[in-house]
Amino acid sequence: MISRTQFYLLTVNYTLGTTLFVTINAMIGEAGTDAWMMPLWAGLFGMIAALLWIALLKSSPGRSPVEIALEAWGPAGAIIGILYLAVFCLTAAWALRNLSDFMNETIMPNTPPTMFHVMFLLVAGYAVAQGSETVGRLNAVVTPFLAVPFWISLTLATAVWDWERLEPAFRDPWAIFRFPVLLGFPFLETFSLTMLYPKVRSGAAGALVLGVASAALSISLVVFMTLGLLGPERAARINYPIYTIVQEVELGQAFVNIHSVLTVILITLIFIKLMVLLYAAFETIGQLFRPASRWPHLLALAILLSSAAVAIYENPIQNRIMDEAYTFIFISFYAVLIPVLLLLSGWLRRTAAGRSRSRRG
Amino acid sequence: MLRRRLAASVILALCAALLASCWDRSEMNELALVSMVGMDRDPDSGKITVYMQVINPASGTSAQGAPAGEQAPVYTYKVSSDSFAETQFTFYKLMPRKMFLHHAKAVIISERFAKQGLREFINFTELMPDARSSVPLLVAEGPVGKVMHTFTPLERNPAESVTSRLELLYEMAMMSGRRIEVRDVIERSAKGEIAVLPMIAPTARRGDPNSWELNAEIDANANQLKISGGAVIRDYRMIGRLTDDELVLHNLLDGGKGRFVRRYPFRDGHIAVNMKNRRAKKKLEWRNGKPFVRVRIRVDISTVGMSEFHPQTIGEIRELEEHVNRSLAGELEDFVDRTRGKGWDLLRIGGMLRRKAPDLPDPDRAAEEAEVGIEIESRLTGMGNMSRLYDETGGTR
Repeated sequence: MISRTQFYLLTVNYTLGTTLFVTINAMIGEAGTDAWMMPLWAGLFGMIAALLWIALLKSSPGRSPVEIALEAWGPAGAIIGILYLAVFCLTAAWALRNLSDFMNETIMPNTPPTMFHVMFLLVAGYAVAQGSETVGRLNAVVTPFLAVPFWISLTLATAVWDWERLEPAFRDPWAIFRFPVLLGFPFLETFSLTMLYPKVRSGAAGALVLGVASAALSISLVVFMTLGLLGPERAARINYPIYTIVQEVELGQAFVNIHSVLTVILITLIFIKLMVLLYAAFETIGQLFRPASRWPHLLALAILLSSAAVAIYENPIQNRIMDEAYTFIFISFYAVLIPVLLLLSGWLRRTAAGRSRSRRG
Repeated sequence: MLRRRLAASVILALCAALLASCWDRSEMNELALVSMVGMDRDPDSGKITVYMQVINPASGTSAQGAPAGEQAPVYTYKVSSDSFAETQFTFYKLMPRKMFLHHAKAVIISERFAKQGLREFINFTELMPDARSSVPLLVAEGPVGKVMHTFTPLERNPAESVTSRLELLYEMAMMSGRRIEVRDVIERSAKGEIAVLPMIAPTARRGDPNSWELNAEIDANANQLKISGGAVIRDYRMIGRLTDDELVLHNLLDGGKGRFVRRYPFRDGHIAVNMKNRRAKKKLEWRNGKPFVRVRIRVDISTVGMSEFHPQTIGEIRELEEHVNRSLAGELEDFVDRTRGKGWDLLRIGGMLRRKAPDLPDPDRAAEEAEVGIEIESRLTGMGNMSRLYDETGGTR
């Protein structure tokens, strides 16, 4: 069992995870100086989606969506469970690949990507095998070491801040509708946290909604700072604007390499996302197949994920194209459509049961 | 249980060895620390020449002192090719260490290259993960090779010498700005605004002195580098030059916060006034449907350096301040008119209109038609070491 605070921190870090890598420049490319408003709208949408999942989870307390599906639909529910397993695996592989892309493009161009994948999977797998307490506690312990240096390094960069870069303001507040990817990713992706939801002692619902809201605010603030520090022209073109901002920070003559600090923060955030996804996949396997052993199937999962991470796309350009074309539909299918169907079937069954009871009575 | 834990910790410790980045390790002793980059492009053949000035790690304090044993503080490598990508790797024909660009302090481009346009170079450098764009960009007057092959006295590393002078010129003379880095050229060009870069030129040469000979030479003016003048860049291309005098006025209008001196006719002679820019604000107003840019600058003036006149009464202080207000405003208005006449929007009125009035149908035209009003508010705040000047013997004042 984990605490409400741990669940909240997991939600925030999970949502920030790959978002800080992949969508910042796309957002600014789409909405220019008003890009900082996009994560706010998307976050609002994410909160509504979180309320939907909470309604589903509350309808059957203590059970995960996979168990709810099994209970509601029997064998068809098992298919849903396998589908969720595939989704969690795919998302985990995706996060891994985003990580190795970042490392290869910035400070470690020669290291084979598989090396990153395998090492991260080993550590994440170890944490997951220890159970939800370890996952929650590990994240709670590292969070201050991520948040404090992250905001300090961005603050150090504010020497080059220029308000002119944020003008003209409020020209395009509805850009989010031209760029629906952001509605799906990252906020709908937080669906994987529902696998951890039953493990929270109490107050999980508030923690989830608040976590999504905090993450949306953080992303919005990061985009705002990126605009003020790099300007929309550069920020829309550079692959990892936050990295570039910190790369260009100079503290006197000696400290010109503080971006390595930022690299560690960003990859740790991705690690947390990976850990949650791995946990979700691991739990799904446990609930679907009830394996007798505790961890050997984690090893199989790690092998699967490390190869999927290499095969998922050939280059980040494909990643962007895939993101823009399919992500929203893909995520909506499993994070909105299936939960709605589950809720509906549960409601129908309850009303049917209620009716038969009243008829009998 | 204990044995299992021990085994687990040993396995984890062994994993740590894998994390030490075997593929991307970089040993200090295997790096060529590039301190300054020079670039030129032949306008006829299109051939690109790149110079890399690399710090000589052996030229520390230990190598100094013994004249015969002294080593050059930097080595300059030169490579020519048809594209930037090719030059990047052909350096290894000459260079025995891995090129490390992250600590580069300055980039110098030849004037003819700047006139052909820098967009290709800027795309190349922004694409490179290990190159920072927060480096000052300077335009070399004359061949860039000469600049790259010149030692500097006092500050032995030429790149350090250049950046240190840029900082001093900004703080002490306003002859350099804050927006002179590669990233500023990118941002301003992308916005359709003008950037002004410092210019650098080798001074008169006597022979071809090496580092030791230069350090033994008393005349510090000869055989070194001089930073003077400004290159006007629009759309990644150099379109003109500013003199040192104009550079001060430009940096003042651009919001630079340094000290500077202006000399004005005053009473029956001249007066040189030390000033420090406190605030420069541009505001967009509309007069009869036309944009009006109101520039308000507040400067502090000081009696330091004012060896011709020392105000004694409130009336004299006001007279001095008003004189400075009028003279500086007049100078700035002249400068703005002159440069706008050449089609240089150094006040960046076009950009201002695009930001403040984004619905304007033709911001460039409106910028040309815009009127500019300059208001100076000077205040005597600084005080020299005297309250009265020494008068001529038997003088009247």
